Order: sequence, then structure tokens, then C-alpha cells
Amino acid sequence: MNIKRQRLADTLRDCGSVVVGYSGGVDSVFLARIAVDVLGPDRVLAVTGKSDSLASWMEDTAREVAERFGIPWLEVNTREMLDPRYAANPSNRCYFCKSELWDRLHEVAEAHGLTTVVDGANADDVGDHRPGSAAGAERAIRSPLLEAGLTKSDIREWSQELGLPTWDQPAAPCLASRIPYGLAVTPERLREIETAELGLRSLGFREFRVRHHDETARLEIHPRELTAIDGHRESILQCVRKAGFSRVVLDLQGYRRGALNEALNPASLVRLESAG
Amino acid sequence: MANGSAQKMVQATAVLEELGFNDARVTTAGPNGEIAAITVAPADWERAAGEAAAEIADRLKKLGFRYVALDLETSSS
Repeated sequence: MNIKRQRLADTLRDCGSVVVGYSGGVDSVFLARIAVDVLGPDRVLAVTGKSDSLASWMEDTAREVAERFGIPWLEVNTREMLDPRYAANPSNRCYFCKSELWDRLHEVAEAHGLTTVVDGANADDVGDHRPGSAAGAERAIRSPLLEAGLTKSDIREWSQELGLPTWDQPAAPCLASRIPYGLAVTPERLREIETAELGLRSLGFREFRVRHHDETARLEIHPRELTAIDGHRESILQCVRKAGFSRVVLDLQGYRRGALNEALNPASLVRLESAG
Repeated sequence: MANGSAQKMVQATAVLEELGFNDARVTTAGPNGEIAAITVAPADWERAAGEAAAEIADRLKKLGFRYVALDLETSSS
């Protein structure tokens, strides 16, 4: 771990000054925090790309953490939704979104006299289906966490040490990832997903996805949290319907994440037991 | 081998009966009918969502459904 920490500092110094693609997720929050440590706040700018596909709680986390930890931060609007190649939701949708994001961030870097645009990709991201990373490669985006060999669990451990509130935050890809490929991404569908997920979070669920199948919401809930549904079927149904779905179904395979590196706090379910 | 939609529904209903869900109904949901949506009686719901979930999902997926899901609405609600 010490070697990786040294390598990360070296990589950041090699970048000179950085614009960090900063979503409010575990990795980019950690990267921005370390970059400020290593390079100083004058050579770091964390930038959040704002669009309908960014959940508002993520945006809040991004802003709050930046304020609390002295990370220079700004938000830019991204317009991927206006790109028909994105909106049609092909399986390489992420490529069009990231292309737009990195183009905007390069503009910001130029305007602020910063040399390098970096992202929070880590060593565990290698080999996944990640069409978005091609857009980064084409635009000379560097990935210091990946270059240093840091894995997700390294990042969570170190984040906890630093007191970052994101250390145990579940993986949180953009809202468009809830829409099956081929079904168009629209602002309205993204709002419905966000409203339904906020409702389920307020009922105490933490590891789940609301998949958007047009009229139907298909809930994927982690097997560990499935037992918490007992007795709350009606309140879940009402909450997801209110978001705009006419039919609500529970996926019987549940939500299964590939690499679950950490034990999440089961106390988060306590509220559900008393809900409803 | 193509498995016709009507035939899949009959087979799916038979599987649920075999697992003790006598009043279960299977319909499709989603823009391409990609979800097998099961409706059960209120008294059966928690068993379908819990101890029986894995087996139902496994056997219905083998019939050719992409997703297997339980309707949050029950047959009497």
C-alpha cells in the first residue's frame, strides 16, 4: 500500500496541475482530495458534469465534500442528452456521454491554465465493459488511481482513514444505466428513476436499482436486503407508483454486484423495519 | 429452439403450480415483453419473494424469459 501511495503522489506530480472529473462517487472524491494534498489547491479543480443523468444526491455529495475538504470545485452543464446517438441508448452510450464530458473539461482546463484532465478509474475497472473509457483514451485523459495500481478496496480503506464520508458509499453509476439498451434515454424517464430510488432509499434500502422498462419498474434489490421487504410490499408499491410507473415488479434474482469489496453496515436496514 | 409466447406462459404457470403457487398468473411486461411478471395471492407473496425466489427465477429463465419478476400487486389487491 505504501508503494501505491508513493506512486499516486508521483503520478499526480507528473500531471503538473489537474482538472478532476468529479462525480461525487467514491473514486473521484478520493482522487480530488489526494490531488489537493499533493499539488496544493491552486493546481487542482474538481469539476462535476451536471445533466439529468446525475442523481441530485450525488451532486449534493460532490458539493458538500468539496466545501468540507477545501477542494476547489465547479459545475459545468453537459449536453449529452441533445446527442441523438446518446439518447437512442446504444450499448456504447457511455462513449457519447464521456466524449461530451471530457470535451467540456478540456475547455475548463484551458480556461484555468491547468495542464491535465484526470478521472477516477481504478485498477479494478480494467477489463469491464467500459465503452466510456475509449472516449477518455482519445482525449488524453489520465487515470492516476489506475496508474498507481489502487483497487476499490484500497481506495475505500484510505478514504476511511482520511475521514471521507464516501468511503462506504455504494457504487453509483449514472441514472441512465437503469434503462435497458435500446430504450430511449429521456429527461422524464431519468426523473422517474430518481424519484423512485429516492423513495426506496428513504424506506431504508441501500443496495438496489430501479430498472426502467417504460410503464414497468423492475426493482433489483440485493438478496441481503430482500428480507426487509416483508410487510412493506404496499408502501414500496405506492412509492414507486408515485414516481410515475403503472406497474411495479420485483426481480426474483435480485441485485448482484460482481465485486463486493466491503461489508456494508446492516444498521442501515433498521429504519425499514419501523417504516410503513 | 424458438419457444412461442403462449407456450412459455403455459409452461411457466405449470412450474409455479408445481412449486405450490396454485393461483399464480404469469403475464409479460416491458416494451418487448422481456419480463415474466408473476402475480400471486397475498398469502403467497412473501414465500415467492423469499425462499422460492431463486428456484422460480432459475426455472422460468430456462423457459426463455430474460427477467423473472414478482408483481408487487397481488391477485386480490
